[in-house]
Amino acid sequence: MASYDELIKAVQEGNFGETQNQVNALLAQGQPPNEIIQKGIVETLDIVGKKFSEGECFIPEMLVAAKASQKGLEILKPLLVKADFPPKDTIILGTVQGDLHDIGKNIVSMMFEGAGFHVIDLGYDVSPEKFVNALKTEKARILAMSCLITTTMISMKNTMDALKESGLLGTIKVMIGGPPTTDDFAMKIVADFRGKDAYDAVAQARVFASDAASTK
Amino acid sequence: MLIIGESINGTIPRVGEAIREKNEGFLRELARRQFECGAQMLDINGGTGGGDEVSDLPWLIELVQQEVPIPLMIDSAFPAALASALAVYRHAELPILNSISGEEEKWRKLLPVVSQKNCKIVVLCMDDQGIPKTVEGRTAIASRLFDRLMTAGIPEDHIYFDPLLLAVSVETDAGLVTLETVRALRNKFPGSHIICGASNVSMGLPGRKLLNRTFLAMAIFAGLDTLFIDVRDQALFSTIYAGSVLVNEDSYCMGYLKAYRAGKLLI
Repeated sequence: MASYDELIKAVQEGNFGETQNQVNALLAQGQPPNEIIQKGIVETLDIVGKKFSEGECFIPEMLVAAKASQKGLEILKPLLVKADFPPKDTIILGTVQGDLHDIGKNIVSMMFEGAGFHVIDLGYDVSPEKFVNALKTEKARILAMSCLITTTMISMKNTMDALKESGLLGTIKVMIGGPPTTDDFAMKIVADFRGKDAYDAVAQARVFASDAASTK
Repeated sequence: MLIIGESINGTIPRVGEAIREKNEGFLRELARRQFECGAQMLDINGGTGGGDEVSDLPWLIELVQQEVPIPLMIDSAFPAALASALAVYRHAELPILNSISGEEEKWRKLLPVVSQKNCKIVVLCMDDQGIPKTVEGRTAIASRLFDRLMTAGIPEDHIYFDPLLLAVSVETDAGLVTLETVRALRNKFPGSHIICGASNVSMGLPGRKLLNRTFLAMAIFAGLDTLFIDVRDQALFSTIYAGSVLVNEDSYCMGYLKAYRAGKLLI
């Protein structure tokens, strides 16, 4: 018997086959695709993200849940009519110039995707110009920057300066993250938000997206 | 087997604070403690974010040299800081510069420094395109850089290849790729050294020290001969003693037995 509880369990355990079985079974029971996404997939990633925040579950468990959720979305997305599920915002993501650390950034990337965002991951050692160009080309409204080492925090500031010069500042939302970053630092460089972990980043990306939608 | 103490590193918050505040007592103690734990060389990284590495690094080198009688590894991302630190280095044994890679800009600035042959050099298996995911990719970079260093007249014994290590929590084959790169480098460059830190491998998982020391045991088998570790970690150190015996790197098990009698082994 299919149920949301079973689907949530399958996604959490990273059981790809069972995730797809449950999705198909729920569809057969007449559950609407957008509801399965909300109550099954987004809900599970919330649970896993929260547990990760609290130190109760670990990176591989988050990755595997994100991958399982993508398996479910493969079935569900084509079924959605546009009115049900407007495409989510594009997020431009990258580790800042001079910094080659991307483990944390990759996890955030997966979590964004799991939450339904369109993610353009620019990788690491990303120059301010590259961020600006990607934002322009993709017409993206959210920028997420990461760094691991204190010496590269300055590149976040440089990127903010480049946003200002390009005229993008104020038209997009910027979040930063990574161990050396603080709320104070985010304020200082006029970033909109500093995420303390992947879960925090996803939650805020949703806020950004709904803000953007309401001002459209 | 060369054992390098990794703990004087400005990116560790408490150490960074000590460097910024010029807290000599704290830093001397940290150097002494690592020496007493068995470090044969100490890594010195003065990068604190807020400070000026070009003056902080030589200051640190001078301080540590007064405190411990072992050679040092000079660690910075900035060629200018490496050069200024090298200028105050005094130990009779050559220091190791950490590091150079296939990134062209770094290479251009550092090769003249390395070419003076008053230092050894860590060579990271990466270039401007980043860290290759495969063993072949990383060894190809190593080969290319090895050839260039040979052309510059650098003795092969002065080269320490770092195969680089990523987190298994994110890429489940990260440990294996590095282990196999160690093996490939060992076969290809028998006259050079292989260095690797272990702590990246366990990022994002609980029980990190267990993963780190298990990785090192495997890497020693694969051909790692230069260890970059927290020498204060007794379980880790014990694993290294045991590993050295098992790959016949400890003549007549004397190092192991000595450590055992001194009560240094965690069994």
